[in-house]
Amino acid sequence: MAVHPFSLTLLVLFLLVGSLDGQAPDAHIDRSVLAAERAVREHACLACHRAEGAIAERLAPVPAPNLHTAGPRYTAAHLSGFLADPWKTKPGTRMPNVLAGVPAEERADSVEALVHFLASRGGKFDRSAIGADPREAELGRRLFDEIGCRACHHSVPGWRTRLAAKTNYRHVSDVIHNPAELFPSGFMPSLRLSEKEVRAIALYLLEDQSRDADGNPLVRMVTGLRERYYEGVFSNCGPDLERATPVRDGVATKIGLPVGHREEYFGVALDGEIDIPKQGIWTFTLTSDDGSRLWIDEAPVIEHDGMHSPSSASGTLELDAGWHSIRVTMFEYGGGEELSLLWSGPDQPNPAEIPVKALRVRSAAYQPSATDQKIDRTLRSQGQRLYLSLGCAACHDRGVSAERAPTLAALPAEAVGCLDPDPPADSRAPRFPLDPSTRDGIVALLRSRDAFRVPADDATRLAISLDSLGCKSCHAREGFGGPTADTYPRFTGTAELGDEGRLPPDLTGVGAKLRRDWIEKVIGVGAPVRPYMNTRMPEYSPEIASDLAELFHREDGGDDDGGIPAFTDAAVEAGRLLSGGDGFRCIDCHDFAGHPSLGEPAIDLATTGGRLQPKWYLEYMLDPQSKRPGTRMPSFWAEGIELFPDVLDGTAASQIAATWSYLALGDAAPLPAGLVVDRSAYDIIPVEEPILFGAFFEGLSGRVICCGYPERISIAYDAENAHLAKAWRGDFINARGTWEGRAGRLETPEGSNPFDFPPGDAVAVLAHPDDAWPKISGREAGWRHRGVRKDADRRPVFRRAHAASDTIVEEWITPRFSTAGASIVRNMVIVQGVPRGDAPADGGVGKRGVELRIATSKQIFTDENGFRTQEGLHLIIRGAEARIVEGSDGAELRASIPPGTHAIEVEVVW
Amino acid sequence: MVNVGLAVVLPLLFQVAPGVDDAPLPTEATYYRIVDLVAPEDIVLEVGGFHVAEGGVILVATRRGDIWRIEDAYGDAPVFSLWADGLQEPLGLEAYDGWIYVVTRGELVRLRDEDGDHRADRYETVCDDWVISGNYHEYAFGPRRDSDGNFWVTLNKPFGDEPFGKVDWRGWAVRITPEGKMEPACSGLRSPCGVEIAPWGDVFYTDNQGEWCPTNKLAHLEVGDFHGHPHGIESCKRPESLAPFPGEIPDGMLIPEVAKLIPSLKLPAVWFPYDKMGKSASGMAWDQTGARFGPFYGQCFVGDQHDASVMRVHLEKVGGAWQGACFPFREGFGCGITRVEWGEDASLLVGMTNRGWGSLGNRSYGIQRLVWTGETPTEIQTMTALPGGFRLTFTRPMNIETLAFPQNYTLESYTFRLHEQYGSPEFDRAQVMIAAARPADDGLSVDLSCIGLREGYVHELRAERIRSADGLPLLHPDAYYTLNARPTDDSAR
Repeated sequence: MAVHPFSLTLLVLFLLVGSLDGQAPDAHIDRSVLAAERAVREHACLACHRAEGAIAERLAPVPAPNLHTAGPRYTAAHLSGFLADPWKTKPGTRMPNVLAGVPAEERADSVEALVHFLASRGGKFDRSAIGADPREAELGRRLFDEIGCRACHHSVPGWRTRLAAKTNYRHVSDVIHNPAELFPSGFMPSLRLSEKEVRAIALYLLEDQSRDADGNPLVRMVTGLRERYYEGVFSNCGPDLERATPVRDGVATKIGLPVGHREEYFGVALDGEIDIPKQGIWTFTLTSDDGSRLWIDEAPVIEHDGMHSPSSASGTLELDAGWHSIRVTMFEYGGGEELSLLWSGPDQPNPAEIPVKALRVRSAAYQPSATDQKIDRTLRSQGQRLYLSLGCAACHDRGVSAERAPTLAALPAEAVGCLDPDPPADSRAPRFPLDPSTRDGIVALLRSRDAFRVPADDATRLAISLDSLGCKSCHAREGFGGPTADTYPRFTGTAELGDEGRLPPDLTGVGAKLRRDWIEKVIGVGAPVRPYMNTRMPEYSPEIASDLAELFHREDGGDDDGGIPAFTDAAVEAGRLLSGGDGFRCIDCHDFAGHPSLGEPAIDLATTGGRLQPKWYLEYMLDPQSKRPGTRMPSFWAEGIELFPDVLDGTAASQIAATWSYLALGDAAPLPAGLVVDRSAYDIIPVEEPILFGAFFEGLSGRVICCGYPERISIAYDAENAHLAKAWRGDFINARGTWEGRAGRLETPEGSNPFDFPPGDAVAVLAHPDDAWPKISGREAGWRHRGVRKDADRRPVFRRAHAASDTIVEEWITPRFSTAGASIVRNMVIVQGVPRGDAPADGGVGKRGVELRIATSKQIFTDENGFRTQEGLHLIIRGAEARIVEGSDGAELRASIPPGTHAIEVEVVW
Repeated sequence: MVNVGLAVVLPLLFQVAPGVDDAPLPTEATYYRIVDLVAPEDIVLEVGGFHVAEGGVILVATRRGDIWRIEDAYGDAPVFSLWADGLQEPLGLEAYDGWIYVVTRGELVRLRDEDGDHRADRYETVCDDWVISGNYHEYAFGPRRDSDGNFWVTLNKPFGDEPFGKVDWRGWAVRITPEGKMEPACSGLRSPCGVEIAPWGDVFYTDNQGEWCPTNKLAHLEVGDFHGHPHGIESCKRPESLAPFPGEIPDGMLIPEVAKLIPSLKLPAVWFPYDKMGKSASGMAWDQTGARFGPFYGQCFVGDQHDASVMRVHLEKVGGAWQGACFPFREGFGCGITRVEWGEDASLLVGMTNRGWGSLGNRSYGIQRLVWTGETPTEIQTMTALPGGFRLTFTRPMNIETLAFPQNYTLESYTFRLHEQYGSPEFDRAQVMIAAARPADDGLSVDLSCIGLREGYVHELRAERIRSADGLPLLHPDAYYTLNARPTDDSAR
């Protein structure tokens, strides 16, 4: 649709004035202005028509695909057809017909020269065939439809056929895997696909290469055997193994253990054909740990099954020369593993390994259609000159300037030259296939070009970015974009959640909803929080992510932390109650810190604080429909109804604020009651009460008692050396290393932010209170673990004793909630030199009292209510007088504890 | 082919002996039934130890470190509750004086429920005088309290990496005094999964085949013994050791020869020939049920962690030392067995886990009970040594004619090599000639006169052809007698 140039200019000026005045620009931007600005950039007008200053920046050309490695990637036939008529070969391309201005009689020669040049860049076209399983392409089709490729890549009939004629597997998989390398525009994002997914999609896109001219599947023989690798607990090569789903399915080049197998609990099946060199009696020797089987020509030859240590079994049979089918299966339960197959037969009396060339397997194959392009050096030089003179390099090779084109300032504001829809016969200009409205828009832009001498305002930049980057293929914002009638049915997800479960979220007001750093994370590195949706959010460059996050925030109103509710332990407790099984039962629908919800998986609540702005959250909880029309999220505090009048003051405001305080703890939030935890899983998850776990522990000893508290604090107590060693927040322990197979691996904290207590003993007897802390410690120094008592909350109290100084220490941890990080109270009762029974009342070394070492650091400072270490620990000591002792290695926080019984509390915040 | 054969053979059998042979031959299951103790699905019941309490309650320690309390354990719907947690691979429980003693990797600890909520509140370290190097194989088994009040614990030797450094007392049996002091008593153990006090007060242990342990065995533990594995013998030189340094251990000699060379080498009371009698001997229990478990009162039942089976052992003292025979007893449990213990109802509780080691069976862990059906199997009840042969006694009267025929028995002997390789084949095999078989008049025993008996050798008997008075073959026709010494005076009638 044409737009009157005058009104367009006015609108542009209006927008500029608006933003210059600092007023909010009109949310509704004329689409055709955006279209023209975007068209000038995307058609790279300024690559040839140079400009300076702000206008050059604003209308900077979008870089065209990198052609440095065109040779290995594109077939000569494609290059030739594309150069001769870009639109016919690739409908919709922005590539102009650069040869339109070349006299007709020279055109074919020019194309040929350019093809010779391009085909020579970066090496020969890669014609290698690859083997593939037809199921891979089927997976690729499903992924292409489901994860979002299809939202941008609308299918034009015949496009996959054209792609199959254009390129090869290597190119397509490279592009999917790392699009930025070939498309510097950044418009094609990465979807963070696994290798398997990349391969599947590439195989789907190139499916036409897997058929011959008559449409029959191409098949070829691949050297080696098809190897299916399984993981699972098998106790023989029987039906469990036969029915298992392979973890990997590929081609092995020898009969042996699969590469990259795990230590225990796996199986493998090798299938294919074996080439028997000479007719006669052949003996096969199968060696394995654990069991294995061999079939030849589908008949069992060796049955060496069951669990056993490495041992061999043989089978003998008569075989004709030539190819025979072979199948080997093997499983490994525990312990060592081994697999080999030897053969002996006519002319070959000694058992030998079977050479790889005697093994083959039939495989579906992909074969690019191209023939080798012989490069003519003269033509190549000619082509290189044309590449420069026609201006190709100006777009495809950044920084190479074009020749001859007038500057932007010198261009007439008319549809002439490149814009001429009906150019005169002698025009040398490249031909751009523009639709009339774009052409008119560009002419209008040229007419008012001075208005573009200032940077675009935020609204314009955001709108252009959302268009160019394809965001709007999936997301709507302010009534524009989102799924079209064509793409709407293609978005899939969790049916039970309706459109919410399958459509990417609306971006209206997103800058006021999400924290800026979260938006940047979502766009730049990915932060998938919608497990119910199949479409995946792609990954853009860090620059694009930062730019978009900033624009969203400036447009919608930035982070407003003013609304953060006051944090109190009571609020956290109330929030936990309301979220859990005895409250609003949020966990019925929402995951929590990685633990699945009781129903369909809505967004993980532990992401709340890192993801949402508190103001938005508070408003949303009051009235979810106002922010997300049609959402399934119930309105818990519907006006006038107090479902939990006894929690806090019963009001919506305080209860919603409490849920924020609680959820904002994120992964450190104690799990809500009612969450169902699988007791048999390796992840140990304290929900109702603390859980103890004994293990070998990295860096400590072979005898460590760990305790995970429901408050999401965990500690490690070294029982071998009788001291508290570590604390961390978040997840407790994954016990796989202690509970799987023969186990015995060294455990490490599962959560984050681990904190080491000062090394060695916390209590020592010193000749003088300020003496250096003893070098020997723990068991060596005479400390022995004496046991554990569980208090009324079933928290462990660790007891240790030092016989020589007649000292007993009982120690336990009380976790505390904290927004700043983790917080615990370290409680100690130190009993020393107290007469017991027949011991002398005043005797013994214990009479002197003991020293307690609370912290060590390079430097320790006092502050208003305690101490602070250089590493950021904050310490508040009760029940003892702490002092800073400067030593040669740094500072220590110590307290002198006189004989008798003393209770000391150390609050540690880190 | 197969079908045709059966169709022809079966009618013939009916015609020949319709009264007897129309019933299938009895199997182990005819006499001993395996009953599941059903646990909730999310409890990983990898059994490390049992304590049978009163009133239908059982405590079960698991390799994951928990102790579960099971109420109504012998009923159809047992109730599980968590009694204790955080123990490091607890592999044995023993109740004494109101406490539950537990041996974990690193300590003997005793636990008690002080507030009566059926959960342990207090864990008191009794002894932790040994340390662990951080190797998975450093298991500790026991504790078993002897008549002097000492707790016996056996300490596995490491197998592979020792991340926290090599330590003393691995491959030892230690006793822990009532004051909590560790006394290292015997060296040379390898993987001593079972330790038990016999009804007469002696301490026995089972060991697992591997390096320096030619096959699985049951051995008597006495202070000062060396049991064959050199891994921990350097610890003998420490002052705490109650066991003398055994000397250099020769690699590759036959067992009877090593015994002559190393005076402190303790020969096992019973060798379990590999594969014939299990592959991994584990926990054991002496039948103290009266006759409530059948005809084997006073004998020892030994679990096997590979074969998912329970074996039977009868011991006798010859020349001042224990020796005896082992017999197959019952197979077909859910998976490898670690612990056996008598239930209150005289059923045999069988605790299982095969994690880390393969086993027969189709489960990974759990508890089953073996219940006597009340019918008496036709079995060799005991095999004892005579100066010139062996005496077999039977659980049921036998057909005297079949007993009296020497060709109805085969007997061969073999021994093993003590060497560093993993396990030993049977060496120096020879047939023992049965010169005469003299049945008792009641058909309940037979004395075999043998030529070619060898001390220090296992004597493997097979008696497929003898029959009970009512025509049944032996349920298990084989027995394996470890003849360390021959009795000197003839106690035969």
